[in-house]
Amino acid sequence: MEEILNRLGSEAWVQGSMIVSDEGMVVLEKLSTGLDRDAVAALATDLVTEAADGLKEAGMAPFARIVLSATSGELVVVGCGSVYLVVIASAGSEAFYIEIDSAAQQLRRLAPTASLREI
Amino acid sequence: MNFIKRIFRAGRGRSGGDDSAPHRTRELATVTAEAERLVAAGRHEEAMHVAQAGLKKFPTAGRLRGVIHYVRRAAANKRLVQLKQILDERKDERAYRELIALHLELRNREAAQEVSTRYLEEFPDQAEAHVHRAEVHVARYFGELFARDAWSAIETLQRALQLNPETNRAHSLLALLYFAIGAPRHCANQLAEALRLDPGNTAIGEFRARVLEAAGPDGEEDIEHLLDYAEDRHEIPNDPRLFPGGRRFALENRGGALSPKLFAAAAAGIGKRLRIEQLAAIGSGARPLAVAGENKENFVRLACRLDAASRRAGRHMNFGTMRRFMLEGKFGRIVLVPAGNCAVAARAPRSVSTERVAEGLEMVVTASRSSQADLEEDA
Repeated sequence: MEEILNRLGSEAWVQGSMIVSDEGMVVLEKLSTGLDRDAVAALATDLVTEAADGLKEAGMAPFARIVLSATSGELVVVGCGSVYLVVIASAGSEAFYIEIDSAAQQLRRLAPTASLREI
Repeated sequence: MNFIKRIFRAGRGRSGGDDSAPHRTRELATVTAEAERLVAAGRHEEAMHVAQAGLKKFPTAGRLRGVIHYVRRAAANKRLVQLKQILDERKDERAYRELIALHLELRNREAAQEVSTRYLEEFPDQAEAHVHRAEVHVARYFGELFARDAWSAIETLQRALQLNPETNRAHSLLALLYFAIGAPRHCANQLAEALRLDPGNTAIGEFRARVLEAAGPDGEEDIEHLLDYAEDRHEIPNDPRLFPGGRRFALENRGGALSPKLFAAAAAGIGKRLRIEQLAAIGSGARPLAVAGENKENFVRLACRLDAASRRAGRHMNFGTMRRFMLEGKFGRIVLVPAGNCAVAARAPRSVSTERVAEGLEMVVTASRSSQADLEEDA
């Protein structure tokens, strides 16, 4: 998992990434200085919870990806089995999503089977 | 030509009002046709004269108002091109200032920001460059009420005053911001400075007296708290239009000016064309404003939750102004975009790109708002 985050972190547009459990616990993080680990995790969990609960209430299927775009950055959350991959990026492009999807796919292969302790 | 036809068609049906008698209707139709003919022929000045004269007689004529809007916009766009050419050739402070003002007038806030950034990069020691940069932040703040923009404006204005404490416009802008967010003492202090630099300005003097009177005995004014409060409620306590001077910084669409009826009509037309299945508008305090499409109640509830969560996240991440929030899954794609003092959300199949959905939402909002603005002006 660390390798996956390291690879993502080597991209110029990535300010940080983390893996958060569906209960909001930070499993692993690679954040640049200036980003508060707990604050990012709390906000990502808030987004995930609101989106998941709202969709359930509306009778819709769970989400696969969330993207929050602002003038100075983007927050991307991708569901990967029992965990979520959270990426904080400075700008969006096609390559951006391809890299994140590829990292998410690798995580999906690990997350459903590995317990948090093993990770 | 198509655009002209479109704006005239948009105004149709509301140009009546007090011109119900057959002869007045005929007269209005003649005046309107003449103004439109002149616009189509490129004789904008004459079209403007005809439309203005017509509006004096038929003040509720939407199509004549459309002619005036079009002519003004066309003139502004022409000047915009000239100014860009000047700036491509040389660094010209006056051209920068005019270009920023024009972009703000046309509500091209992103473009205004780009130009103000360039202006500031080229003239970092000019107080005026900082003031113009602050003006863009103020316009963005009143457009979207993100506290971060107000902070940036305050910091930029303070920098301008460090460079030149005699910058009257910087004091006025600070006073305007403090007035709008409900900090009368801060506002009065800045007005006092503005008055010192321009002692003959009676409007400022009178306004300062009113502000001080309204301030009352309580001395506490926490700017940060006031900005957060305005952002949370998505509404500021005082209308900037009450501030003396130019009206460039009117708070946009204050009080939920997006009409649910017009929204539903626009959503039905535009939404269908763009394959948008559900649409919802959310007003301040995450309350439903308007909704269109199937399963309305569930969708508007979901949109309200997403709006509140995305605002919280955007604010705490210091990401600047939120552009859009997107969710995708088997249900398709849900896109939420802020629009002045409300937000709009839509659901579309995943085959429709986020950009396309966001564009559609902007079109729906523009259609609901421009018609509403016309109605308000007419009223």
